[in-house]
Amino acid sequence: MSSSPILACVDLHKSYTMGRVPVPVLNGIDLEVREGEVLGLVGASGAGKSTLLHLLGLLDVPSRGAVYLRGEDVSSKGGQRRSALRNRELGFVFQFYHLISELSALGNTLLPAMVAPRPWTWLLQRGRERARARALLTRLGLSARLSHLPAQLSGGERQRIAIARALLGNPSVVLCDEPTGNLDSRTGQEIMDLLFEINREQGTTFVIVSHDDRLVRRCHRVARLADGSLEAVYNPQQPPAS
Amino acid sequence: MRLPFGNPFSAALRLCFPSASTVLLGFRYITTRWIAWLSVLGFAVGILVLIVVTSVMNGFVKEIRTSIRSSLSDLIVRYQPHEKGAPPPDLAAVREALSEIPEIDPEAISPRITWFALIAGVGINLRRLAPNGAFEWTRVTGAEADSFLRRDEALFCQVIGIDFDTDRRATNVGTALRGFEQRPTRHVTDYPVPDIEDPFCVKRPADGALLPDQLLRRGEDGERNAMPGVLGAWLAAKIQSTARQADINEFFHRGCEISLLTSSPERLSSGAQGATLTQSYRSVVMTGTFRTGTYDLDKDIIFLDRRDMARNLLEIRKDPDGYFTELVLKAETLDDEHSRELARLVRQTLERKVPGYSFPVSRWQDERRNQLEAIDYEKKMMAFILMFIILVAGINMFTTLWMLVTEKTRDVGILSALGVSRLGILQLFLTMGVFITLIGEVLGFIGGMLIVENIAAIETFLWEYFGFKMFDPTVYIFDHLPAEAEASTVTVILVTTFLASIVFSAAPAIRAAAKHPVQALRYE
Ligand SMILES: Nc1ncnc2c1ncn2[C@@H]1O[C@H](COP(=O)(O)OP(=O)(O)O)[C@@H](O)[C@H]1O
Ligand SMILES: [Mg+2]
Repeated sequence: MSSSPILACVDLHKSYTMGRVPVPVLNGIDLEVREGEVLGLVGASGAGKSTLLHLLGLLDVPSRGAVYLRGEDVSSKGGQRRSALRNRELGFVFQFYHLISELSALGNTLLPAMVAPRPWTWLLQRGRERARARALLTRLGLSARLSHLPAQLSGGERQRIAIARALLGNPSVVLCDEPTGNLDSRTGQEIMDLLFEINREQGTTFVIVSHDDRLVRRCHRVARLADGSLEAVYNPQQPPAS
Repeated sequence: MRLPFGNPFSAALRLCFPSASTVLLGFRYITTRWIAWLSVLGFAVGILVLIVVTSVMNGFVKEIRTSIRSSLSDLIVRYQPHEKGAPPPDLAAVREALSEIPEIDPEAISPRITWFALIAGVGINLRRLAPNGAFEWTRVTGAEADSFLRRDEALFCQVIGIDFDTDRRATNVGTALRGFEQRPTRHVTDYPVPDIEDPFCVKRPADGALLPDQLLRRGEDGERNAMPGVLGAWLAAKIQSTARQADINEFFHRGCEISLLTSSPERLSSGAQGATLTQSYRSVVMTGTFRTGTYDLDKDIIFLDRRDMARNLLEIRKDPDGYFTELVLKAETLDDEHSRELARLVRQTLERKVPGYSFPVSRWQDERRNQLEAIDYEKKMMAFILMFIILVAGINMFTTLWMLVTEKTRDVGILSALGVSRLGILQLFLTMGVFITLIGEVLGFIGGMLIVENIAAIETFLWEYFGFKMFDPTVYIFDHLPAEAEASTVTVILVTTFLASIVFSAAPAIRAAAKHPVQALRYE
């Protein structure tokens, strides 16, 4: 595990305007995500965890401050450029799976690989990408579910597809927003095991927002947010008193 | 300032080439929704109707141009003697004069006599096998020379005397004899002439006499022979139905006789105490029917041999073989401008070379100008009105896409997270509009062409099974429904619809692209 920051934010502010009044949500966050680590993000509901994750994931632009990917300021780049970075460098896993209901397990997994190529170039890559997606889904225990639609699958299975989709492009960082939040505790445990296994085997960097203590305890580092500020960054084996 | 989609030129270029994910999703979103298929149906019906209607209109225009044109010939030369009562100009001199003009085919200069008559009655002859093994002709009772007149049922007709061998080169008389082959219709019965090379021949070599012997023999008793004539198929049908009204319940067929009530110019002018009109009955025996496809012509005209007509119907005594009322000519040029020029040249040449007459020349375009222009105009009007079907289909698609944008708000967020740009979202919904339109256009095109190609069969089917008369030949000019798809018109329809559909999908697409990805992700 190297300690160079792959993703970082400096003095990150975000406020929403309700009517005319700006409502601050994040007030100057400085955070580093190191390559190969699993960073936990905890905090009360409404603390701004999802907002921070969206900013780190280039889905939103900060009101102030900047996001750095491998040391490069990416938050100030244009929409086209940020979209391309999201496609190549980042993966997302959400609480409610967020699969496309019209596509099969395999189709959902392949979707990020189809965003950049034109149809004709895709036809040339298709065989290779499909083999990769199939292998990945098999690795995640879904070999018998490839052509199922999301509606035909359980919550755990859906979340595995979402994970496969996030991993397909070999992203630098995978951002997970309460990945076990909608699952029963046993299935949640399985998903959790899977994420840490992938981290161990492939060295994939994870940022995971979670309320689940079992998950948080296994993270390499944990950042705690409170009212839009970073309260503490700590090793979960020696949590500070809160 | 940074533009939302970057460099507008490269953005426009990227917009034209959607990514693989856009194509896949656009296709899936549409094919999994019945409401999208409804939009497809809207376009399909619109395109189908547009293609069928414009093709029928186009067929009408084409049909008029070809059939009217050739039945009238390119140029029609009439004459007016300067001196009242002078005989018609010398045919040989006229031909000689016209030979100077290279555009006029000398083989296709043909004199005609146009005259009028009433059909006063019908003589139906039945051919039966007699006990001695020979054919025997008997006359149906009640079928007499004035059987129609007695019931106030006389039919008007136009009698045209032609020189078949030259006339067929100048007009479409020859092909009209084969009308039954070219324009099958259920509306009339065709009686093809026994000898297509000699329509006024009353004998059929293989089958013996076409006419009852007593009819042919009557000439020997000093009485006049019946004149062989070819009738318009619709005229024959009218005679048949009039005969039925007069309680003559036999078929009016080949070999039957009609009697014409007419007068002659000779009798008109030779009245000692001013002009008195003396009528006379003349018999014509039908050797067959013709069909030009133009109802107006096929319901009125009887063709006779010109010399026969001059002698026996008009009773011209002085040089009956040289008598004519007009000349039909074929010109090599069909170009409107050039033919006008040619008409002037023909007139000037004739008036110079054949003194004592003026020669008004008219072209087929002049004779049918109003009809041609009206139909051309109607075609444009109809296409314009039908474009509203496309408008309705477009609004229908707009509604579908607008609803789909709402339904797919969360997917907009998901796709953004996967790296689809705003331009990509815009493209996705535009692509859906394009797919809906293209599928609709393909279905509409196939359906439309199938209908156009099989319009005669469909018309007959509707008539036979539902009694629905899609097309009434007595109202329209033709006795069959002509339809011909024109590549340029179809292309305009397809391209216009396509462009319109882009306009209609633009607003939903912009609405989708305007959604903030984070808001879209949070959307419940
Ligand atoms: N579009 C918005 N407009 C106004 N306030 C918002 C908007 N989105 C989020 N917020 C506010 O920002 C705060 C942080 O939200 P969020 O990041 O979702 O918290 P968490 O994920 O930690 O529960 C909340 O108080 C929420 O109400
Ligand atoms: Mg949250």
